[in-house]
Amino acid sequence: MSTDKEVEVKFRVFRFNPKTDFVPRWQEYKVKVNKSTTVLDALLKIKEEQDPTLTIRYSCRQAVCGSCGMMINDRQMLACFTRVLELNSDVIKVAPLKNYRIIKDLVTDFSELFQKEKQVKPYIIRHDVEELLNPTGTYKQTEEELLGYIQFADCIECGMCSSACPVSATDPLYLGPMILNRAYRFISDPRDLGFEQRLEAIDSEHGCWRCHFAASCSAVCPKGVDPAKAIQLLRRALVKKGVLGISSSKKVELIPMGHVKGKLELPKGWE
Amino acid sequence: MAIYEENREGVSGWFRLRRYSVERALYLMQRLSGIGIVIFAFVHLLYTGWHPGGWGDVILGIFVVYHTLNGLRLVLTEHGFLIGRPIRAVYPYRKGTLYGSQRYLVMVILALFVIFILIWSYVALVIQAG
Ligand code: SF4
Ligand code: SF4
Ligand code: FES
Repeated sequence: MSTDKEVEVKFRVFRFNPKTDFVPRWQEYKVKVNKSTTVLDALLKIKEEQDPTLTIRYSCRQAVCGSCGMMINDRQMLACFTRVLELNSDVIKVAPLKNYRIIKDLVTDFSELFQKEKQVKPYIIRHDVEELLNPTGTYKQTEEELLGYIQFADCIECGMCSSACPVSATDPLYLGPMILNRAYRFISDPRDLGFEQRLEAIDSEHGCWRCHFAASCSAVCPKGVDPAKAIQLLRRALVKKGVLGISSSKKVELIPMGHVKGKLELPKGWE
Repeated sequence: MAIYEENREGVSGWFRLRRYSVERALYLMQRLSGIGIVIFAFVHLLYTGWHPGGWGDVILGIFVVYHTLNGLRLVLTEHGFLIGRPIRAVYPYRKGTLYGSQRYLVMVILALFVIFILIWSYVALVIQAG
């Protein structure tokens, strides 16, 4: 069967252990792949058959956990979501994500990222303590309200957008697209009442004003999230609040949900 | 070494344009033209009578016209216009910031840029010189 036809591909893999090595080096491996082999499969094959010292991080193997983001041929991609032969290249260059500290080889350290994320309080904030402790029902929302934030809720926190952002490249304190998208995801959720509490982090020098709309974050996102859109909508909300003086309690006016008034924007085939 | 461990790109990251969307190139040019204008403004403040003249005028015109036109695009997009509404992300993904109105606007500002620069170059090189 043609799908099983094996081809030999050369992998140039970034090797570096900050604890022992002075400088990184590139190591080459030859791997036989077929049409369905992903970059992650190939790296695991190298690890099993040729070099057990190669370090990688993964868990779900299906673009859900966000652990396997790396630079594949100089672009942020999920190793488990990228087929080797679809790259159409004789040599596959694999390196750790840019702009994160390297732990070893292809594994980067996200602890700083998740630490920063806490600033935007990535959870639903409510004031009705009594209802939270003794729930009498569910918080209902309409399909239209859901569509206002569901795209941004699809983020798997792979950190690739923040790695691609040219602003993150020069400003280590910048919250970055992943976190700002996260903030917008909760702010635009009709159940959430925490807009004010997130302002300190978002409405700051290293918050959403730092973004220059290079849209590289959206270009690399593997889940269709469009973090650049979230950031611009966040700014829109802040401008409306600051310049037009719309109170943050009037969420409907701050957060664009065009589809609430008009037609639902469903993809083809969903009607 | 720490610098390898940190793995931060720094300014070189601005110049890594291959494999990203065109907006990143526009962003780089916005930065460079901005820096160019600031440098000119400084020199201009120190020597108020000086202006570059000839090809210098053309280059200054390129910086100013590009920075203005692209700046207008950013004013719109960064206030949430023309980037599409939130949708349900369904494969194959279409991201509002990379398709549709925003992209048409990119083409419009680039076309206007070429037209303005051609006119300005004619003024600077032919009419003023002649
Ligand atoms: S749109 Fe903003 S956050 Fe996204 S890559 Fe560009 S500068 Fe970074
Ligand atoms: S927005 Fe996309 S690229 Fe960024 S962390 Fe989430 S899934 Fe990854
Ligand atoms: S292994 Fe989970 S996203 Fe790739």
